[in-house]
Amino acid sequence: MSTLPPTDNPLRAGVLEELSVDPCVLVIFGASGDLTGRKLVPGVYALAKNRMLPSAFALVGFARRPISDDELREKMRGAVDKYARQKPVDGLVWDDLAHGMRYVQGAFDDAAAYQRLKTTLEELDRERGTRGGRTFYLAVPPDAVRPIVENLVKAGLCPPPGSDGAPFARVIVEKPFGVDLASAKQLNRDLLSLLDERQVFRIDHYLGKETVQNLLVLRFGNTIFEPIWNRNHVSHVELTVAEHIGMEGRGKFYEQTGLMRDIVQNHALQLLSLVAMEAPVAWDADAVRDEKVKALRALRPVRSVEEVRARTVRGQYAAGVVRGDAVPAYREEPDVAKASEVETYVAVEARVDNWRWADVPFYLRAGKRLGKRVTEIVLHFKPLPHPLFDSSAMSLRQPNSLVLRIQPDEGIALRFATKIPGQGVAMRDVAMDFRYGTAFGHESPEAYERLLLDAMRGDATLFTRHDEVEAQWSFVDPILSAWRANEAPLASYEAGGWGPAEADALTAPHGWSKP
Amino acid sequence: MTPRVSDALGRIERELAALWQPDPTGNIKPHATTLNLIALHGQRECSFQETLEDVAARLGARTFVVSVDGRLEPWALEGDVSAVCRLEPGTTREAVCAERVTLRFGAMVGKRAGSILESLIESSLPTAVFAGPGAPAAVLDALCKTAGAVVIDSAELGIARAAELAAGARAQIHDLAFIRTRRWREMLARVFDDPALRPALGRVRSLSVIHAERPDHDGASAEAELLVAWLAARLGWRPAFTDSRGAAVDVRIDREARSGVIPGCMLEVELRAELEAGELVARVERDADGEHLAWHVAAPGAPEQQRRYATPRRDDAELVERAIRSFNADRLLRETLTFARAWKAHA
Repeated sequence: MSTLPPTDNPLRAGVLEELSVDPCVLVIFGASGDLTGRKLVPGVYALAKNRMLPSAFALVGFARRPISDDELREKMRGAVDKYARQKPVDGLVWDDLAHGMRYVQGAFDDAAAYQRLKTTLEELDRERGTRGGRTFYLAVPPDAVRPIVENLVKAGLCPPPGSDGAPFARVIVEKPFGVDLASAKQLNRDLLSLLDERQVFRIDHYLGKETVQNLLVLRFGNTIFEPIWNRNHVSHVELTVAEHIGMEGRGKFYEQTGLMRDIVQNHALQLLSLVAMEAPVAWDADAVRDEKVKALRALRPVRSVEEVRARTVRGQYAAGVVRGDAVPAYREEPDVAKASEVETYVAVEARVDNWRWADVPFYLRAGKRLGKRVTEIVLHFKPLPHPLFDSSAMSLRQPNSLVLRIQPDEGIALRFATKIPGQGVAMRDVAMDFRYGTAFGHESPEAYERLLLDAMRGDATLFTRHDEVEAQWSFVDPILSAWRANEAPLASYEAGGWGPAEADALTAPHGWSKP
Repeated sequence: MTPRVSDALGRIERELAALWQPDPTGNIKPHATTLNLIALHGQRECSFQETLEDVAARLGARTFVVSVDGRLEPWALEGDVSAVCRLEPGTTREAVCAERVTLRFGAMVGKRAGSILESLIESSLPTAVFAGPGAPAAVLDALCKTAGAVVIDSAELGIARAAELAAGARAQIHDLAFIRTRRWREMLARVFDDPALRPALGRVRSLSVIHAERPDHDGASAEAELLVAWLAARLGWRPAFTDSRGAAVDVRIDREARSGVIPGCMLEVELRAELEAGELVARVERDADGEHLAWHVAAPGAPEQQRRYATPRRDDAELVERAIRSFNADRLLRETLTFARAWKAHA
């Protein structure tokens, strides 16, 4: 009698989420850290509130600080009160979540702590019915990843994947995945010597954003876009990841990292690969990631000093005014060297050397202390072959663009020319504008919610595979090397603007669009 | 079409067109429409009118309020056109307006409702029908073939009629009674999120459902019957309540007097099934406060689990809005109604 597609749980079809999460414990390493309080536990709370978690669920915090279970609960309740998406916090939901919350104190390399963790997990299996399912979230610095995974494996907490229904163990790893190609390869070797790739979930929270996922639906769930999504119709692609904030206490981190590693190597190249990739053969993790890797591997390397100078711009913000407030220069930020050469702005002209994208520049720009917080992708279509209507405006010679807004105001806008009503044939450009918030009338889940849920379900589609990470570093590494050797100048830009003037030259004759 | 109907229709069309013309000072009312909403009803029930106002405001709809009035001439069509405006909060300024067209059909005109409404709807927008109490059957039948979505309530229509509509409809059908069971379905589904318990789905031995009494109704409530039919359809049971292996499933639906809850609403579900190591008992009960569900699962080899989940009361306007905004619930309802019809026929 059933006409519905089979799911793991046939009663789930059409009821809330069709894919359910198997019973499990989520273990957060780095439980006392900022990410845990700001994003992870509020994300877990939102999942519980929206009944996305299994009834048999528990959460364990693992960190160095000696605190009790109750202190962890109290701290996490404070974080949820402050950062939860849906307020006020539902006492019933919180109490149930808190009831299954435990804390294990220990250093990441302390084998005895992992035995305590094992005992705690077994207790939770008995009390909460979590049946041996484990998701380990490593919200820790990169150098802590290997010792944690080694100790988990030694303690027998990360058995290799078994058959369906067998207890699972998955490890979520936060970026950065290395600091360069060599270290990324080493990290991958380390992880994959201990775990199966199917157990490793490298998280880039951009992929959890609704519009990023919708990019694939827009391209491959419609018929009208894909035929024009290529060099025959697209003139150039712009990708902007702009933030108006500065260091916000992360000066020390930035001095070691810089914007290229913080944003371009991961978020911006993820977006580029989604725009540039071919259609996957199926909607599954490996099919999607295979195509993303192919697109990344088609990136033309920026190797020589001349190429670095011609195709990249690095900048650092000077003092300026952002959203009405005077803000200091990067070098005046706390924990930043007075003569720092670290970049807070990057513009790159990328080329995807394949059949689809030959000769189409992809202009990437990302920066701190820019005019406003916006992440968007703009596909500019080719200019009119012949100007039939009299118009001197550049926007009307090249009237069509598709804007994919990732944040804020997630949505899609299509710009085109239209006739101004009246006797003559005057034109102006207008936009068909789709906004998620307006169209669907409810808030999209936070990226971390989606990604936590997917990891607990074992769906790696929105996580980065080892070869993706390495392909990203392969593109970025030579640029960073040239910058490190001071072979390309560091430009300055005024905080609150849109980056250094040198970046405008990069995109000539097109210019950047104003988000 | 008789001249009288088309004349009346022409007047309504002109009034609609004039609605957004500038007033003598050149002002145009701000207006926005995202949907055609056709509301059918049989009597001027205050509760239905309130629900309709709320739904129309939530959805920003061009709304047609349609009834068949036996007092009119058989071929008469009466209509009023107005703009319904919401005010900016805290002011007397009109924030946004939408059209409201009230149509009263003579008995014969009702059969041409599809053609009349086709002329009046904004054709670039989706069309949803909300069938209120006593919705004229002929009009509803006609619109099920042309509208995009139809919202019914089998608690009002009866399951047999709902199944009949669903079987013949080209529109997506949404049933408020079925939507009201959603939290209960989810609670039962939640039991089997644990893969270790999933084999029990093939060996359900009994299902007991208790619902609140309805003073105006003797039989089982639509919600209780739909819940049973949903589970049976999902698990491939046959209409005589035998499972896919032919084993009998003991199904009981009982009523209970309970104050402080909506008449007919679900009060308790208990499912018993076999696992290799023993019996699985899953029970979901409405708390005394009426706003929480107690969820209880006892299975061999696992700790007993008890949880409480909030089940906030949703008014009909919210349910209708959810139904219209949902895009894929239809197949599950059709499957459920198909089973319910077969079950009733067998009984």
